[in-house]
Amino acid sequence: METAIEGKAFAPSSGEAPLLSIEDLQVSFYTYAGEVHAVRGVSYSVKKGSSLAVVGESGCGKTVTVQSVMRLIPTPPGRIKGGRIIFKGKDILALSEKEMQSVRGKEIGMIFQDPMTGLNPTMNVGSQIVEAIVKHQRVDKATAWEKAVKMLEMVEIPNPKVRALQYPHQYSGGMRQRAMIAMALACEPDLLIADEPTTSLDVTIQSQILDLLLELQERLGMTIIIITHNLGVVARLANEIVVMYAGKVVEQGTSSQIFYRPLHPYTHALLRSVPRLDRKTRTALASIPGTPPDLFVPPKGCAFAPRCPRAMKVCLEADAFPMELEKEHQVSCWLYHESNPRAAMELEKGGVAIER
Amino acid sequence: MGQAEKILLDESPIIPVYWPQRNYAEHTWVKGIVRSAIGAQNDWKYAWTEGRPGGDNKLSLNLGEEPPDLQSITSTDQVSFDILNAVLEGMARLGPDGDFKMGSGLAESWTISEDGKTYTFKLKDGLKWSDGTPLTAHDFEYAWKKAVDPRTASQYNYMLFGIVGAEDVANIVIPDKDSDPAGYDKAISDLNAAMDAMGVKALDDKTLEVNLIAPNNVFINLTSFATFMPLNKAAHEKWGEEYATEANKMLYCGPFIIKEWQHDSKMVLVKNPNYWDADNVKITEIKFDMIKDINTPISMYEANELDAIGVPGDFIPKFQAERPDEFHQMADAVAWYLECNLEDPVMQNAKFRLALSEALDRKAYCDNVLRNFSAPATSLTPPSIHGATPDEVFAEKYVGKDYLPPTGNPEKAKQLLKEALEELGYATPQ
Amino acid sequence: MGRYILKRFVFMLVSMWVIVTACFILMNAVPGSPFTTAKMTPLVRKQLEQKYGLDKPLWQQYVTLLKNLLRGDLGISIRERGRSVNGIIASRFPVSLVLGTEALAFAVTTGLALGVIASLYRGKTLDYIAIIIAILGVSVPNFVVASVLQYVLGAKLKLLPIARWESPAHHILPAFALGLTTLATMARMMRSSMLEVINQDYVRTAKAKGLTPTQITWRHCIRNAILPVVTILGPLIAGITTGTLVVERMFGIPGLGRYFVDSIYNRDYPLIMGTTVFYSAILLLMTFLVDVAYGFIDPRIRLAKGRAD
Repeated sequence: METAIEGKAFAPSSGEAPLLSIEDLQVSFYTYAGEVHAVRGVSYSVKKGSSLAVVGESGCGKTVTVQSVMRLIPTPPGRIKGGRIIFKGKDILALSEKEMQSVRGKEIGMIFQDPMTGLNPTMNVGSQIVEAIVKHQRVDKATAWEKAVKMLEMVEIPNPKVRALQYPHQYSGGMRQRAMIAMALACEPDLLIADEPTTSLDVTIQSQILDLLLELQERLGMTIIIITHNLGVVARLANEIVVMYAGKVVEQGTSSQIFYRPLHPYTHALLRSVPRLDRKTRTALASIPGTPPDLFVPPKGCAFAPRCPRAMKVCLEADAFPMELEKEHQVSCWLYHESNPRAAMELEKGGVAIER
Repeated sequence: MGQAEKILLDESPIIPVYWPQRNYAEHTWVKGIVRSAIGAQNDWKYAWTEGRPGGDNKLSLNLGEEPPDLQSITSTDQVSFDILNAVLEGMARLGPDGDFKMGSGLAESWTISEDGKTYTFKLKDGLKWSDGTPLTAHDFEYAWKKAVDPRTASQYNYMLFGIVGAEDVANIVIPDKDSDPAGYDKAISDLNAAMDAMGVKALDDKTLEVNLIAPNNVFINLTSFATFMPLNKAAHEKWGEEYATEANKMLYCGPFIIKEWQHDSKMVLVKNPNYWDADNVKITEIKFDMIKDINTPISMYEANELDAIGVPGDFIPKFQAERPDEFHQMADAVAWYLECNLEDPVMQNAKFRLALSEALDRKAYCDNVLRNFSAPATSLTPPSIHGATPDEVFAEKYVGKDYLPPTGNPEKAKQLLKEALEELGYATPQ
Repeated sequence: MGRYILKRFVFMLVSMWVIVTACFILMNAVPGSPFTTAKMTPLVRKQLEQKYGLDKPLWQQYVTLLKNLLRGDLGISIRERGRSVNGIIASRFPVSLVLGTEALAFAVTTGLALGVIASLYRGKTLDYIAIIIAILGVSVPNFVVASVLQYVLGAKLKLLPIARWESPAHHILPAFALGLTTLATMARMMRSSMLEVINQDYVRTAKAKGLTPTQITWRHCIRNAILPVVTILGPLIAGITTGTLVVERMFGIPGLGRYFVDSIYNRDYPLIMGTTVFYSAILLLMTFLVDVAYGFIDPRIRLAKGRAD
């Protein structure tokens, strides 16, 4: 623990090399108003077969980070300014556009937030899946079509043969997201990135989609990165969690660590804003006062400091670095730095913060 | 005549504005096109070329538009007149020297009676229509009677009103056949009787006798006008309303025949082998375009794709400077005028109309707006119309020089306006 | 779909009737007549009016007109003596149609290509070139373009014929001059439509599938971007067919376009009515066909129409 407090750069604790590791990723967008520092040195990794959730408010850079993994950031205005993204041993940022095309869809599949607009309205669903299959696998169209129908069946779309011939507007929202998942999984990618896959769906459908993702993950042994601001989703799906705020990772750890021993004040606040059914007392849902910082001019201290009830002087002056306080659990907060005489106490308290 | 024109100008039911100038350019290899201020403007019968690129004795010209009506007895427009003059011929034809000589047209000769009222035309020997049928005096009689037939409703029928009985024919009102069958039958029999009484008769195949109401020393000139050209009865009745609507639906007797007529696009004339004077016709082919735009022909002329063109006002300085040998001008025997709407109560006042006429600065209009060398019309009859002798200008001699003020007379106009308003019962502006 | 088409057809007939009636009223409300000229004696005018049936009361003329129209008879031209309006349209319209089709084909293909290229190279030189062409095309009237082309390519360089309607070479300049405005409109619309589509989620989806930029452009961008452009094709076709009059006039092309205007100058009632009826019929038909075509490209509309059954 002491070593962690010295502030070593994060390294995966297990001996096995992760499937994907993002190292000090920096992404900016150049707009007429100036440079937006959307991602400011993000590092996290995901092991093969695990499911990682990235949580945080809108605009915290979680989507930009995963889109960088797929190199889907529109450039211009976006630009990846620094860092490395190592996927299966190769640096994705160093690949040519052409090499990248064989990573997308084949090795990394992605599903997006809004299934209503994510499918091409002028192509039938089957063809959109076939497209991906034909691109990455040496099969003829008929075989690809069969496979597409099979994929639709796999994502539990009823009557898949008929449905494959239909157009997106003939699908309901949930079915479209299923179709998106089928499309993303058509080439059996090693990694599936799901960018807020349930946000735009209604609650019962959300749950069905999550069930499906869980089932598929178990069945196919797939690695998943799921982006969400819905902690309910996280609780069900993820075994590792990354909490992001204002373009940085503020805390990461296993699911149980984050839920039961959240350390960062932002994580606390986030958890408190979730409605809970397991509480008997009827308490008002907490909200986080203030607004996220302006990323045109990122603060030099901790970005959360202005909204943080526990903020100290140092928080406004310098940003904290990630500290591994227990196995696989890191937090970037001065509260836990050894120079804080109450650091040990804070750590003890951390786990019960949610009860306050 | 002079007196009549003065009354017309004083009463001002029409207000002459300007006498147009014809500005044209023709390449130096083009020779002998006869241009006339009246009737057909261009006659290619006597023309030829020397050193024309693309072959001699052919012409490429722009007609400007589709000839609207090639039925000679109903035709009223300049474009049709030019074509009709080329493919048909009357008793006489205007020669290069500006005269209608005996023998210049289909008539070999004519005699005029002592009282100047009876003309006897003798046709040339061996005249033929383009289909080979003989051309006779009956074809003239048929044409002239058809021209005044009320069923033809020819706008230029009055050109023949100098002939005895012609106006009587034209004035017969024919009621609707369905609603008034008896009246219709009567009108038709009246019409036939009037036509028989009309003063034009083919005495035999080669002799045409014409009786005029009064002597007319320009009657021979008139016979060259389209309305007086012959018409073959059999052909005219065969094609009926469609006569002369296609190249193969009419007969020809002039120096040229229409070989090809693509409506609104082009027309090709070739020499008529059956023409009595074919030996002296040098031009073998005339190709006409029908391009209405004024800029396109200029480009085509400069590229030698057209042999002659009319030059619009804007281009006159350019042509005068760059192509002085090719640029020509002549006065047209035309007057442009304003026509007053005499159904309007204010316009019915003669002083009001005259005030408008006096207020016009015709010269400024010609110099600044038209800019094509047109002349301010100081009377209705243009100066190109001569009086008793060719060197006497009719308007100057009989109407008076500058009868209407070329630059306008605002003082007189104001005075007239004031009087007119008083007569009309409007308050005089203070 | 069948009932939908039937409904549209009835609608077309009603529109046609409204147009005919409006045209008849306007034609007769405008002062003057085919025979307003000083060169005519009143008697001859009366004779001519009798000949063309203009002496009858208006309501009678209107009934006769409708009867003739129902029989497909557009009457006889007054200005071009002896020619039937049907004949004039039958002989001139094919020329306008050929010219219009050539101009449209050129304008649509080049315009769309230009728009696509501009959008793909947004903010780069190619984009600016395309934008300049589009601005010129829209702002410079086609008679100016035509004049310049005639003078430079025809009279000076002698590369192409200045005017006339003969060999295929004669078609190039008029088709270009006629199509330029449409080309520019198409390019402009296609560019903005493409830029909109490029940012759509489904394009990102396509990219995430690993498709090549070419595949994305063709299958996902152009296909969707072309939809709004197709809708304006109807009015554009109308613009091109009626716009032929200037170009036809300049190049001496025997098309129907110039009759549309000249007939009004000449107060040639049957020809005014004939060309109006004819062009209206084409316009209504085009709008209808474009609607149907739109339905075929966009499955959402296809289905909606199906439900209307």
